[in-house]
Amino acid sequence: MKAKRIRIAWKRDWQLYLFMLLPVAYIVIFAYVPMAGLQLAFRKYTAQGGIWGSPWIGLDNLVKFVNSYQFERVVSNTFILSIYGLACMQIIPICFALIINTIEKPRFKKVTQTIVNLPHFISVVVLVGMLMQVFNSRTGIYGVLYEHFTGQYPTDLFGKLGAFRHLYIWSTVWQNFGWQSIIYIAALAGVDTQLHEAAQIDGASRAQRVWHVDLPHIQPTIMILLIMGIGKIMSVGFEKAYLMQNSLNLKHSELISTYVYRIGLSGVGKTDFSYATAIGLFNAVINLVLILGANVLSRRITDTSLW
Amino acid sequence: MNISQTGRQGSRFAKRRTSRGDRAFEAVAVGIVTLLTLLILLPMINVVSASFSSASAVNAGRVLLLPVESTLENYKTILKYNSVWLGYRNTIFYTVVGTFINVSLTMMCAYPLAQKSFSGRKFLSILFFIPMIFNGGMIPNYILMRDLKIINTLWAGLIPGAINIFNMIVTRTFIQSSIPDTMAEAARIDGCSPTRYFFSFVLPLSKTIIAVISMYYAVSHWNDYFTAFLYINKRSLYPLQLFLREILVNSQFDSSVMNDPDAARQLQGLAETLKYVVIVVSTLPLMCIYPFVQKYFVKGVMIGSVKG
Amino acid sequence: MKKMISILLCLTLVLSCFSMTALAADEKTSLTVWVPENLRIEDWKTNNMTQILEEEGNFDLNFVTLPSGSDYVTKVNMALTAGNVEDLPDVILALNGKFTDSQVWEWAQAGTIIPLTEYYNDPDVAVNINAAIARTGSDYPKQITSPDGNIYGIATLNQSYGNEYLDKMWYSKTWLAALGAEEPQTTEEFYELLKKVHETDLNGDGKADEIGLTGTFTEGSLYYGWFAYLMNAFVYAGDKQYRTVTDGTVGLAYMTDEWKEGLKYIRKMFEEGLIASETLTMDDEQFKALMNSEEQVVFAMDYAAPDMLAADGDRVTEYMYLAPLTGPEGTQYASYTKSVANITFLVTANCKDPEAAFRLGDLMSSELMGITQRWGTEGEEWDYIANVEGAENYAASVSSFPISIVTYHDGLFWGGSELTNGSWRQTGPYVRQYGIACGVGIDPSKTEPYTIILNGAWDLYQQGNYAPAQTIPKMIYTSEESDLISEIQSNLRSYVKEMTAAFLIGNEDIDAGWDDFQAELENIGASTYLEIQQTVYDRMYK
Repeated sequence: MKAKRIRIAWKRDWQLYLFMLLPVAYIVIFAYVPMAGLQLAFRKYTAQGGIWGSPWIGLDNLVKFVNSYQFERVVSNTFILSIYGLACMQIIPICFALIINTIEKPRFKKVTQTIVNLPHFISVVVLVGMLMQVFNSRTGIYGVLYEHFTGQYPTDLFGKLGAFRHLYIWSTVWQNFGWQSIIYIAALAGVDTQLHEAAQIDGASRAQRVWHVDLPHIQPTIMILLIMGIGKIMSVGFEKAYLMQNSLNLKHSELISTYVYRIGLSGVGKTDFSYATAIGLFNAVINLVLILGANVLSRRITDTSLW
Repeated sequence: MNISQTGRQGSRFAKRRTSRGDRAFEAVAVGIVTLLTLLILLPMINVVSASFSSASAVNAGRVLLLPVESTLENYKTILKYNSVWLGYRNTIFYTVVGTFINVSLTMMCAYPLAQKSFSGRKFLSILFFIPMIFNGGMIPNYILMRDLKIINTLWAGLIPGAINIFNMIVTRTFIQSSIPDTMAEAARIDGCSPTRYFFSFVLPLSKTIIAVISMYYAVSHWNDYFTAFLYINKRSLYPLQLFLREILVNSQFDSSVMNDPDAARQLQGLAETLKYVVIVVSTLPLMCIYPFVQKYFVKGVMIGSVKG
Repeated sequence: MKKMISILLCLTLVLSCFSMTALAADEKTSLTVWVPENLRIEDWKTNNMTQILEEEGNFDLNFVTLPSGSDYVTKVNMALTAGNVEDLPDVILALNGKFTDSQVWEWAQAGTIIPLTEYYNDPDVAVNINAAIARTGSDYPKQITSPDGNIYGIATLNQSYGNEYLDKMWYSKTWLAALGAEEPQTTEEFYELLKKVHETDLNGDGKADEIGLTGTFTEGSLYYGWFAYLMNAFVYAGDKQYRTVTDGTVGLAYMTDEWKEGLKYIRKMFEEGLIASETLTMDDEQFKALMNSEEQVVFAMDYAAPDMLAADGDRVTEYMYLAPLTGPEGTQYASYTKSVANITFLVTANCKDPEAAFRLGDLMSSELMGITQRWGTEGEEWDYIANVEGAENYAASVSSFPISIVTYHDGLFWGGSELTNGSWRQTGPYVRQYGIACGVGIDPSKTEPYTIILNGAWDLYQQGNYAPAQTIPKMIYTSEESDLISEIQSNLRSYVKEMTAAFLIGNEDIDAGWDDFQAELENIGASTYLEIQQTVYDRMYK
């Protein structure tokens, strides 16, 4: 019986399998083969040993990481920054896409969309430089306006612990909301205008139409992007935080990635690849658990799933 | 005035029936978008102006909205290196050919996975999902490229990242939600093979998502520094970003150069402005292309195409 | 007879063929060399230095340029740890101190670079290196010896007081005169002076925007010397990890009561606004903007030289150097980094003629090549003093030294963006003894005021001999040692800076928080750290 089912499925789908041939070959060779390198997390990497020959040390690397100085601090900082960022970077691009979608002036839309995409291309070094410039207590727009209204220079914003996360996240939003909204704008292009007209005839206002027609149409896109965003929670890159770090905000600005980077730079040791791999693996496992959870929830509530 | 007549006349109807509330809504929407755009535009003008200003003005932080002591010196500095033009040529090649490969592979992969009745759907989806989470790291990837003899060849710029799984999943989601299963069923009943279905139905209907991922991939190729840096040694194959970064590094005050303190003072300043020039030089071409791609996001591009 | 002649002719022909091959056998050794790209070099192959070296050593050098900066080391590291040996060149060069000892040790263990010890020990091969040891007065190959006793590369050693006393305090001389004050010599005097600066409208713009002292504090920034300068009047703080050495015992400055006193002193100045609070968070760009602002706002700052000021402006000669301050207990030090040798030349396992490769590095270690690396072509860009006429009234850059060389168009070496082809711009090894940099002859009639000020600063610091009796130039760890302390060192440094910033800005009280501070240091592993530091110090310097 099973054999017959397989034969039927094959007969129907063999062309689809053919389509998948090249992609599967690519993913197996270029993603799965190097994955064998993950075992470095459990070995002590030596150049002579390479990946397969280096001595096995089991969970030692992981234990070292968990016991490391201020482990809780770096993990919680990474987590909190990520969630905050995820929330903002999910909501704002969607809102922007929905709003701009309701405007009927094509040239206006073209111009504004092109402009809001621009910051995406600024390097992170320049972005942080711009940020520090704008919020400079003496010469930045922030300082100048503050002094104008109160007669005094404001205290240094970058020295305020509480300011770090907001500065970090909102500058990221500023830089990327335009680019991130593209996918939603594209999705909204597929909305059946007949639905809109039907709603109009029923007396729906613009706002109501956005809520009842546009939003549901892009719901699968929103959910998928949200799930994938959750799958990256532990993987916050080091560069921006490292540039924004200073001794006064370290309590919030020390992330897992900046910690690893700093150790590698300490000038004493060589880069410990196995340690770095172990930490990467630790992050990946947490990401996996979270993304699986998100996927299950999404499937139950909205019937959208990653597979 | 037959209200049930919709379709092409719909827009005319809509205008006439625009209520005050709707007009207010549009005004607010335009206001918000304008505000956001200005919020973006002003700092960007600052960046462009800085690239046209003198090094000392930039250093002193005197550049606000307009160039100060405007000069073309900074651009001349970058563009006089012939390698920049070689870089442009290489990058255009990698971007065009690379994006073509990317989009083809991605569509080839997303299409079957979007068919709900595909027998391998679950297994293959998971197969592609896992590498999104787990990555072997720099060294194992390097060793693989080394063993495959891809290092230092053209392919080093085209193969790594040939399929971006994020893009692929987004594409699959798109196809799934824009092209109803009923259509696929109907086609199958009519004797249309999956291959023909792909070329005759799916592809034409996917113009929007193809435009989107083409742009994503193109930008990724255009901006790529790291894979090229790692895997390519031959200068004749260098993409633009590698040359630009070199120019930046070489004009910067490298702290190891501190061995000669009197040296530093001449090096100061140039690097600050060059950073801005690099942004303009590498972004401008992309920005010129965006308006062409954008027309695929226009509402109604799918009108009349999907009819039950 | 004819037969004899023809035989003779044949013999001659054959013999000359042999001798031609013998001559041809005296072929050039071909070497492939990896170098970091340097856009100021016009052409590596036709470069003046290349030609000299190729001729001297009978080489045929082929250059492969890789991306420069820190990426260069990443690439080299990849190739030496994960690449194929057949893809490696013969020689790999570095710019200044870019290869760390631990990296070199790792590559040595991987077997991709080879030991050169036998050539060092052969006086016929290591000719220039032995001469270099003599003229620098330093057995510097010891400083690059790996834990297994072998030497895996050839070193750069640049003895220069300008580097050793890198950080100096600079102040605005016009403002000092306007206040009618003298150069401060003690911490008390410095404090009083900054107070007056803070209270007076010295730039005449009607705003209380004068800053007594500022700089930077973030990791990777350049202008952080102000902190050590002030702390040096209490306890020596010039070591990067704040280590001290007293009679051969290694200690940590931040564990002493003197450090506490120093913190209180600096804190007082923060509290009263004499040091800008942004000093703890600014980046280099913002600092430079402050120094270059329309109206002058900064009185004092600490760095190698006031080179962040516009080179063509007036302000660049406005700032004068200040000697180190004396603290309440009579302590007076300047931050000091003894010149030390670092490997900048590697021979890979793929090299077919290691002795020839070594000879290349040895040639580069000669005095002539050392000078050429920095100043370019002899006769065009510089000359030995003996070969120059009419230089009697020249002065040496550091007055206690005799003149060594005279330079022409020195500004071109670093400044501007013109292409140069006189040297490899300090890529690869070079060895210069004190007498060279300190003995550069200056034509007083043609010298810029800025250069005169700079040389005066070197002079003062070198004559004053403000260095502590013992310092730690560098440490070479075994793999086990570095495994143990790399995280500890990084965490200690980060924590000390964190607490320092908290103490200085007032988030933590110095007296109340001191014991917790010390306890946490223990927690991070300060004891283990000190133990290992002592072991390595004894091994290397006793």
